Amino acid sequence: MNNLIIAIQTEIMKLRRSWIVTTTFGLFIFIPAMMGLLMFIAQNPHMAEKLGLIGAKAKFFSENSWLGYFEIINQVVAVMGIIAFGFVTSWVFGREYIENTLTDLLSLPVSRSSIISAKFVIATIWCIALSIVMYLSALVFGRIINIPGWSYEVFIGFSQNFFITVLLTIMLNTVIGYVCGKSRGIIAPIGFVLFMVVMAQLIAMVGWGPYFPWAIPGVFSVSDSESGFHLVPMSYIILLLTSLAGIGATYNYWNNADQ
Amino acid sequence: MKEIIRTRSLNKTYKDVCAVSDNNISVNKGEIYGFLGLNGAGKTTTIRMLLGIVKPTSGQALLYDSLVVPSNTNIWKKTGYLVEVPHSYPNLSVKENLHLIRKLRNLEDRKVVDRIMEKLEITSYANRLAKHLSLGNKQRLGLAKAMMHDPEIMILDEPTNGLDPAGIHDIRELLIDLAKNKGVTIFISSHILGEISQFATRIGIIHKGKMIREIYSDQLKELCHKQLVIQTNNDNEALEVIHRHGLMETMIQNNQIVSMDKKTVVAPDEIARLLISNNFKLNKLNVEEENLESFFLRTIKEKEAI
Repeated sequence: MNNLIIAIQTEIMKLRRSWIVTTTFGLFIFIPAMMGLLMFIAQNPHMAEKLGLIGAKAKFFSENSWLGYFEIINQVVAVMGIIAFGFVTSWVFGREYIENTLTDLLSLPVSRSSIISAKFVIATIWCIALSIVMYLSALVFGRIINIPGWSYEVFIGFSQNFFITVLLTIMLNTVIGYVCGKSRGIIAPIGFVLFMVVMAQLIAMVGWGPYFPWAIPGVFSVSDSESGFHLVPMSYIILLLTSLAGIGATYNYWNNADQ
Repeated sequence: MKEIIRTRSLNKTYKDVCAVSDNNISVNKGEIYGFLGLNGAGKTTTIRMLLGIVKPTSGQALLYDSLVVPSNTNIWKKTGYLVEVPHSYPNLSVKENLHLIRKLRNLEDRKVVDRIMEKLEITSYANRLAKHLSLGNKQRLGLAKAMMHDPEIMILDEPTNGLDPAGIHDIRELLIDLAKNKGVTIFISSHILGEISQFATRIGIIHKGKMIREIYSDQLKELCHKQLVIQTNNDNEALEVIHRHGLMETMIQNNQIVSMDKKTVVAPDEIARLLISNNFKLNKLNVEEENLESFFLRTIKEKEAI
């Protein structure tokens, strides 16, 4: 446990002066700001037309209310989450390869498993912090533009949906840890994430989303009663197994493969 | 003397390429073992196996009589290392990089960082970001990380790369001091025999993955060939006279007569008398010692010829 705490402290130290931290947080404020702008336009189509803005985007929301706004935020976190959380995890693991610092971490009194665990912990905390920032920003921007239709039930429904989507998305991070090690860098895992996002869209369209790990958070966020468009118990098992496989493969690779 | 670093029939094969073959190395406590080889000879692969970074295809590496495997973290408490070009976190300062390693080495005393910076003369760069350091100072930072915890074993892969002559001298003196006065065992690789011979107590030469020779540094001078170099007013005729005299291991090289014959090297005055009595004018007569790099290359060539 002591070794894990030491490893976590050093992972925090490594984030000092990191432009990636500020950029990701900036992005997670920018996205709800854009959603707020779109909602504002949807509420004021005459203003959008006058300004020559995207008037047609008024149909972006199912309804111009908190409910419609929250639905979009949830969809965005499902897709953006896979990309951004994948990028965060790629950076936490892959930086050791691109900065050539890996050899410094391999023959130390602190075990490699502690270092891997610390990296997973940091990536998870980072992703949760990003989600909280996005969640709070969405609420603030919604208040600023004065969206109608606020209710406690809508708010609670959104909050539950948002954080479960985040949790399901974070579970996919473990696979990225392995891809970073196997590819010895950061490009391949980012490519892998983007490929999985595209695959998730295609697979979800044909109704197999509940069985494809990278489509599962998205299907959850836009759950529909129609078969193939809502999660089934097997979806959670598939996601859990994928996550566990990612953890196992990452630990195995770092502990046994030539570095 | 206590054996502290050991390899037993160490092998590493990458697909069909044999990087290290049947290496048996034994280093005693307090020794400075120079591990010499050309680029691609298998030095770094051997060092990576000693550090558990690369898994041997067969054989074993042992430090302090303990098998080197990633899970055996105890052996790293008293081991310092530097592999190839040392890299540090570019956006952290020298001091921050050292504190990070201090934490990972579980050293409570924060002052070790100041002490090691002073020892390696990088205190004035303490707040400079690692990405802005010169190659020489990056190397010093790498060495600081390797020795901040007062290790009993130091495994160093070409640690003087990028250092200027004064820096090389400083590091050499530092390593000699650690071995002599603190009993630190140093395993150091290089491809420059001249450099390593100045402070290693023993030298192992590796070529194409195999150990081809092990020598004590004080034997080195005896093993280096000596030759007599002569220049006369007519080298071709002088060579004929020398050959007629039975000294057949003599030839013309680079516009001068070079004799490898032991008799001439031991008694150059005899050949001088021979040439003068045959009316040659002597312009040069000098016993020259084979330089260390020639010895190193000759050793490799001889092994290849077998």
